[in-house]
Amino acid sequence: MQAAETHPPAAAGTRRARTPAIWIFIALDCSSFGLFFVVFMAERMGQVALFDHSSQQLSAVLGFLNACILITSSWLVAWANLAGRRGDIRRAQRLLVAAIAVGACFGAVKSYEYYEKLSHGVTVATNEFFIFYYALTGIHFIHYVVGMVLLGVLATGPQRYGPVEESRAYYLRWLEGGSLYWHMVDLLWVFISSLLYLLGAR
Amino acid sequence: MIGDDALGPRNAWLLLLLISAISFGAAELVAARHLAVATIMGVAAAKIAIILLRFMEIDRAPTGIRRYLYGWTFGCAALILGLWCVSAG
Amino acid sequence: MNPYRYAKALAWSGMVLLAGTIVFWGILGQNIPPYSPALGPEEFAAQIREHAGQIRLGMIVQMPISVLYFTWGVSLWVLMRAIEKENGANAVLSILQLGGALFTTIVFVIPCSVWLAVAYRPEVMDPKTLMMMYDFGWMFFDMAYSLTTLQLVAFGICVLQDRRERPLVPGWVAWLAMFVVVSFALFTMMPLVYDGPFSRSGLLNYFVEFAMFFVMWLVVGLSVIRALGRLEREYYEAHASS
Repeated sequence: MQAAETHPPAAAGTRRARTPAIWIFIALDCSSFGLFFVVFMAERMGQVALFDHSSQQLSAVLGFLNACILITSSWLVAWANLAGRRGDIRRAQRLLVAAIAVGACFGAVKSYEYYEKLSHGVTVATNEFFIFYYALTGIHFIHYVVGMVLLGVLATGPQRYGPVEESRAYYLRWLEGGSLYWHMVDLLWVFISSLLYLLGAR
Repeated sequence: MIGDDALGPRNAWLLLLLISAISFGAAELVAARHLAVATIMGVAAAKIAIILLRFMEIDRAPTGIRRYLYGWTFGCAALILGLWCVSAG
Repeated sequence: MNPYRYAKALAWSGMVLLAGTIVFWGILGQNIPPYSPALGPEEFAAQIREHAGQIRLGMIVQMPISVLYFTWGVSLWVLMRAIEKENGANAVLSILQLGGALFTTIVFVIPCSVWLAVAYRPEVMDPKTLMMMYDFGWMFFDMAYSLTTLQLVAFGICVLQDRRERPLVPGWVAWLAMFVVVSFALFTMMPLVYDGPFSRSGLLNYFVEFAMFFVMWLVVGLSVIRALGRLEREYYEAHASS
């Protein structure tokens, strides 16, 4: 194929300015989780006592702690994005490192929770509630890990080779996208923790 | 030092922590379950709206996305609360 | 010589397979939804024996037509190569997509052969054997999801890098495709449960996941057909005088 002859390469950046595509992903992902939440509540309707009793086996304190951790990490990422927009890339990187450090605590708490449950024999086979518990928190955890990797890559800053202006602009686009993704991870935990830890409490 | 534009997210963070504590308190301490669950879901919707507005700056996103995500937030909260009330009898 | 020769026909082959899959795998094959894992061996065997004829017919056709998934993947490869060449990029993404399409073709063919074997002579088979084989087919079909994830993620990343003013494939199509195939990770729950929304015939792991897949397949397929048509037109316009 001689595509290079028939189509002169478009100049970088001429693609029509469009929605940061991450918003589309966020809308799709939130929709999926929304369906998940409704299915959870529908399943719960047939077994209210079981679901509430199982929910009480979870530590609402740890759920609340994890919410605070993600909110704080999210704030640091939002701050990093603002710093980047102002041109202070170094500060953005430092804030991202802080966000990662705080965010790592979520992973630690979640791992402890899983370990504690599994060592007491509470698995997906235990009952319907715990199928949802592991599915919802598990899928959220995968999102969290992807987010942490993304933040880690962003914390290394713009690439050091190539034209500076272009690599900065490219980096800032990714910083914005990565920030939005991380906020989504935080936002989803708000509903997940409410459903699993708080609704059936007491 | 925090620049002026960073105060918005900082204040949002403090508010989020505060209302999270209220939600936790309602779940653990309020005997009237209908009130507790309404508080939990109300706070959840408010938290997400704050995250969308102050952290994600959703007012910069296209109108369709903005409406959809706000609709999703309050719709899910309402649906969850509604289904809880139905199952509570 | 038109560099996009055959490509549109190959793109249409994927849509033929989509329709064929609904008819032969889905309707005739008794896969809307599949048999619930909650069925006991005797109950399951009774179902298979009752529908063996149509399941057999469904799989007899579905197995050979599944090759059209690979031919469809080649049409995506042609489109991706055009974008890669315009960008001066290497062929990594287009090769990953092609590999994913080839693997996914196998994921159609082998489970269908298993289900065909289940429907071959169920009246002489022990119910538990029938159940084991049927379960095996579904474990292969559902759990090899990452092969399709590879295909469509590579496709999505490539078409998102299209620098044209009006991209060949709209960004939302790329994001839809990538999102759907990444959501397949929900199948992780499938081997852990025997009923409910996460089972192979459940609301989430069957109805939602498969509906999303078929819709995405159609959307991507039509976008690719349109994009290839546009590339072909541009080629002819550029070579009108020659």
